[in-house]
Amino acid sequence: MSTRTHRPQGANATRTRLLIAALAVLALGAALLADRISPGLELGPVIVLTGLAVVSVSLPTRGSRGHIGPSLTPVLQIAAIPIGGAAAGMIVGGVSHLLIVRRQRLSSRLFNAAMHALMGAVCGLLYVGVGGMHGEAVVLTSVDILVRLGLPLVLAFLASALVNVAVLALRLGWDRPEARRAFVLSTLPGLRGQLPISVLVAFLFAVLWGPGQLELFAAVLVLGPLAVAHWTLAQDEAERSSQERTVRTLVATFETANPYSVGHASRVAELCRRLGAQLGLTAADRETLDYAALLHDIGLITASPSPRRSATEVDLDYLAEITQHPAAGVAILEDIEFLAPALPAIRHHHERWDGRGYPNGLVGEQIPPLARIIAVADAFDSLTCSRSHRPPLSDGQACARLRERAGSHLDPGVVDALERVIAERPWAPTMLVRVDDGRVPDHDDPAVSDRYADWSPEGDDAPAGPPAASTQPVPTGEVD
Amino acid sequence: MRALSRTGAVTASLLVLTVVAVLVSLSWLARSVPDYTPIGWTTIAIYTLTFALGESMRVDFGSGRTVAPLGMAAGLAFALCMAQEMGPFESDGGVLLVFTVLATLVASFLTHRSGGERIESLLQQATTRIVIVLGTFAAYRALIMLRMPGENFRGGLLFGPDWVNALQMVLLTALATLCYFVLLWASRPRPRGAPRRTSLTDELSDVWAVGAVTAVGAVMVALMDGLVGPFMIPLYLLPVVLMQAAVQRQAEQRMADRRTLQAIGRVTEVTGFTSPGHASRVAALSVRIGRVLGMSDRDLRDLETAAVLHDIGQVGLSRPIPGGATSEVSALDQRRLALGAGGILARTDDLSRLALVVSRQSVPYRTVESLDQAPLAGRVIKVANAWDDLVGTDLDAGLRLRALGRIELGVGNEYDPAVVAALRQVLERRGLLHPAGTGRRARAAAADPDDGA
Repeated sequence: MSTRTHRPQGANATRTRLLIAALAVLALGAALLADRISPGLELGPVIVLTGLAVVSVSLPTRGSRGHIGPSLTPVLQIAAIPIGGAAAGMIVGGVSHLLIVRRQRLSSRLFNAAMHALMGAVCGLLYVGVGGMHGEAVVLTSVDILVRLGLPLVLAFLASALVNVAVLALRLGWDRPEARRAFVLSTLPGLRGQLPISVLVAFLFAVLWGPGQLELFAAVLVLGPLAVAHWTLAQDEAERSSQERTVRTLVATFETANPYSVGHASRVAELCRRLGAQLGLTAADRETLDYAALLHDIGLITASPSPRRSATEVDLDYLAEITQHPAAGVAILEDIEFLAPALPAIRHHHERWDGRGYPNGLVGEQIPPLARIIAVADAFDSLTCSRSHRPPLSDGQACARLRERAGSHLDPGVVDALERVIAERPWAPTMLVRVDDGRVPDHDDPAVSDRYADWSPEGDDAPAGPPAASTQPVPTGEVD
Repeated sequence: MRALSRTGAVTASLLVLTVVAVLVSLSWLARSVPDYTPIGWTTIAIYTLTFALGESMRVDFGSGRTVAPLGMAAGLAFALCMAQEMGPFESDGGVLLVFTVLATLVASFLTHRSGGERIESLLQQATTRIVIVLGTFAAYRALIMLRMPGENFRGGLLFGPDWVNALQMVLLTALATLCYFVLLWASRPRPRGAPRRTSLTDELSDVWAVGAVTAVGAVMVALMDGLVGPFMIPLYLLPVVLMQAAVQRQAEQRMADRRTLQAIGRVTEVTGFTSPGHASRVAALSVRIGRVLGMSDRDLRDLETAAVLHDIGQVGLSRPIPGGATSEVSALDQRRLALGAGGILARTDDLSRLALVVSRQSVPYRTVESLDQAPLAGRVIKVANAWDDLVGTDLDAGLRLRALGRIELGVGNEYDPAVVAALRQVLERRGLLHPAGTGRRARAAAADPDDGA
């Protein structure tokens, strides 16, 4: 579970300090109480386990995609209780997060340490409260092991997870109860898969350490295989981050085929990244959006109208041909599994909010949300590039131009987001100035979209949905 | 043929050995059924069941090799457990043998039913497994017998009293797993066209991680069984389950990578720059030639990638080359296209090491002063590409002979002699050079670029 803390802002800093102090006091109190109920702390094992926990917590964590099995730190923290004593969980959890080898703000470090100390202390209290045994060198029957070690471990683990979620929720939404609820609701289901595995590993570890009389050798047997499994996946990811590679190869291929569009894909992708953050997209949606934005014009490799040197105006031949490129792009990419979620966004990135775009003439909310975002970014990038018939527009001019088009061409919600994004931080991409791009018509120019909308054969693919949808624009995927 | 018959001999002798051993132990057990407690029999039943189920959950390692870490761990733990039983050696061993064979039969049946593998391969794996499990049992029993009566291990500073025993078990299972993989490797038929089998080090570097987790996992199951009882044996296998999931995901990732690369390779086909299937045919032929030349598995993977992408430079052309046949255009244009393809690859981090291969693919052999300038993979792709440009999917054996003749005219000048010789070898073995080669086999061979790749 993520224990990354958010940056305290201004007055929040005091609250954070208070929270940290409260957590630390609570943790100490709970640990002392637990130790009174069932006294005894074995220093040797506690030091060893803390050392292991420092190593495991300091190892770089990778993205959630490559994750398999439990993370080792909570397992060590919980297993420390039956091995080292009722207060051991607090020591292992607190000290390991205090000594973590990583550049980290002091307040984050203290907060994490206090939170994990409290988690460990509550675990210890609950564990000894339900009669969990620790540090006894007597030979146990299997029933004893299950009832006095297994069951208390399960309960302790549950308590620890709940404390973790509760403290993080408190920290996240100090004065925002609805955000707090959303956080708790979104985190709890994730525990279902993680909990049983973690409990089982902690159980195996504790049994082999104590009743199994192996002590530290238990780490070789239990943690060794897990480390190898982690390593197998990590090594594969390091060796070939194949998805990135694929997308970059495709973009490079595309830019080789269309030299005048060099940089367009990555600029649109950067804009979409900012828009996605502004609109509060989920992490999965943001990744999909990134791929879709980088590859949205890949179909131009196949369906690229040859530029006519004489034509200054966009003619119908050009329009007819350019409408093929979204579908052509999908045809190129459809065998690539990980790009499947991005295909709708690529297919529909030239649809219009009023239903007069291509290829399917979808209206309003029928258009996939990611496609609407790409459409706005695409138009903005086109306007802020220099063309033969006009100089590049400034950010403000381009925004104003897009504002006029909100509700007809573009999704108003996304245009709002764009204005906020540009107001926050001006758009200053690196652009290669090409002298020969003047004669190539830019199909992303809003003027081309209007030409198509005026020309488009009425109703050939247009769905029967009422255009009334466009009067009540709803922002895409916004959370607040 | 020689290799095949040798494989058959190994399997057959192991099979005969197993059958004899089963008969002997059954007759032994029939005289005196061992007096295990009900819990003892339950343990045996659970081990047998876990073993059988684990064996039928196989993971594909790619290139047709499968492993079953779960089954192997359960089998080894079973052996360790029976060795600790301390009944008469013959009856414990006999029970272990009978139930191992039973589990193996069930597992082979399940695997075969689910359309998994050929009977010979299953038989060979099953017999290897039985031998390894029995060997582990005998070795651990011998270790226990060698200990002084009443001898107790003492704990050190950090390790508990029982750690020496656990360490011995780990070393034993590790040795057993190593033997298992070596036996499997030795009895596997070599891939068609390879002058030699994949080297043992190549093989072991693929499986050592799975093997290590399997060995340690087996020891953990045996220890936990002794402490907590047999009812949760499947749960004790958790680390092995996680490892199996990791390997599975790795294998799926590799498959997805291959499909992705082929999709990229097809970009030029979609755009009409090259003929349909050209990239994957050149890749398949290149891999076959590379195998004859004795390239390692890793190099073959790179060769395949480079071959799939070798024509990607053509997307920069304003007009397609007729038929996409790059071997027909001028040397300067060939050079330019190759450089374009290399440039595309150079822009992506981990394909950039192949950029040299791809951009040097057009370098004529005669200008290669030091062979380092034109990597072997590039020379292979040059020949495979020329062959596909000349022949494509055409079924006419006469055309093929003329095409090969044309390529052989360029030996030493345009093409690397060793590579062309390897091409001839590949074509002959696949029966593509004889007039009879217009028959069914050749058609199938020409239509299926992935066959034997």
